[in-house]
Amino acid sequence: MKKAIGDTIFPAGTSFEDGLKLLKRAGYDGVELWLGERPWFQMKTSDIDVGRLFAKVQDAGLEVSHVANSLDWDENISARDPAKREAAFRHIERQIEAAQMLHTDAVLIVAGVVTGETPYNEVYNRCVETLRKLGEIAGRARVKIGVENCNSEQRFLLSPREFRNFLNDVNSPWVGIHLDVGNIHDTGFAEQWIEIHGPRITRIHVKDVMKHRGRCGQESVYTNIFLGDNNWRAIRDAMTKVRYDGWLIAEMEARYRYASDQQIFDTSAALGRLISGQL
Amino acid sequence: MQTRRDLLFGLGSAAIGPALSRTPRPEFGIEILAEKHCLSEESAKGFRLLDRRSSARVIVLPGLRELSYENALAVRSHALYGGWLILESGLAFAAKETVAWQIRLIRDVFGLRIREPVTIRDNNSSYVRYTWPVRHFVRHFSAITPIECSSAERIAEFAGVNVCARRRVGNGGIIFLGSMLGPGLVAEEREAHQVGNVILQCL
Repeated sequence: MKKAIGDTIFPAGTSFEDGLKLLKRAGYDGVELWLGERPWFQMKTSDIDVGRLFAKVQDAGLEVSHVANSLDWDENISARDPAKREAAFRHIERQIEAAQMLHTDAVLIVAGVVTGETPYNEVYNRCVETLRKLGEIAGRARVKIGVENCNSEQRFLLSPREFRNFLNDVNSPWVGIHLDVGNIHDTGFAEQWIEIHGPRITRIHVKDVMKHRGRCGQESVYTNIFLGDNNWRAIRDAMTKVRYDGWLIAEMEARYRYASDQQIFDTSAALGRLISGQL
Repeated sequence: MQTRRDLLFGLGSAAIGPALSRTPRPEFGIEILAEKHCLSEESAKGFRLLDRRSSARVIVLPGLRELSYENALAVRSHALYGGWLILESGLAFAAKETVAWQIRLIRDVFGLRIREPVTIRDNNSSYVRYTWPVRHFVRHFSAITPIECSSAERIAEFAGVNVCARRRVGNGGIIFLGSMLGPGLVAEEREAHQVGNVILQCL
């Protein structure tokens, strides 16, 4: 397995190049690039500039684990507004294009946001239909779309069997699950999600979660790896069971308030322990 | 002189123009003419799920955002000859300038006085209240297109605003839906299906 972390973790004011150097020093194999998050990778970033990003990643001795996006929360394929829906389609297409340019074979998306106004069944049907179309595009590019389980934030696809049925309905070998083991909260167990989805897992996001705390306002229930309530031995065993040997990408939502670069080093060490199985 | 058959045939080809795609259902007397955008196509998919048991010739224009005068006159003729039109507004998702001339077109051609789409936040209800052809609550579709009912009969309201109406035109008529019904049909909303099916049966 290889370990990566997102470019969103770079301390404020850090350039892309310096952020990559920091990751390399901390022992990462790769970087997760977030479309729409940092100034160096936006929808307006040209193909040439995406190529330059890749050159910088290579120069730093790293790889791109996959291409994520931070745009889905505002422009989702499940939106009622067709302009937002079309914008979502376009930015996912762009992720797929960028993935090819960045020599990686996966993208991360958030498909479906259920709200009080946009009901579950509407979101479900719209996502299935759109992902069938995107699956064809992804297939031509030979890039897999990993649909992330942001269970609590999306209020959508809340159980592993339901997520499996959803992927069955999409019915594309190019659309799988980008599994976040920290996102399951109190509604289940990450290791069971790994078992159920097995070969459909495109990538795994890693963070810990404090269960039984609820989620109030902006208070985070996420925490550093090994500090929360995930059963890491069970998670590691499940990865072995399904023969997952791909990227583990740390996604640290709760940040160090001081010495922010230290979190990059500490997280790398924790990922190393998880990979080695010394738990 | 153009016959009714010629008119209906024309709807699917030159008369209706390239902006609408035709889904002929001649065996049921219902045609669904979708515009080329995802909102209209989604709604059309919903209307195709209905039982389509209607004795009248019905043309459904789902999620309309930009109906041309030429096409509007063509479908109006269909109503004059005894057919029914179901005009479902998608204007809430159209550009402001488009909305202005669409309001004029719908007034001039169909005699319906609609107003600019609005988003109503009603904490008391998420539902459009249909009173015809059956009394049902159906989930609203975010923004609605209000309609004045001086020249038409109200069939549904949302938060006290008239949102759906029907009006006789010649030997047929028009049903205006100011809150989209089609997406609810795709989403398997039971009451939306009941309203849609009974509307078709009543025509």
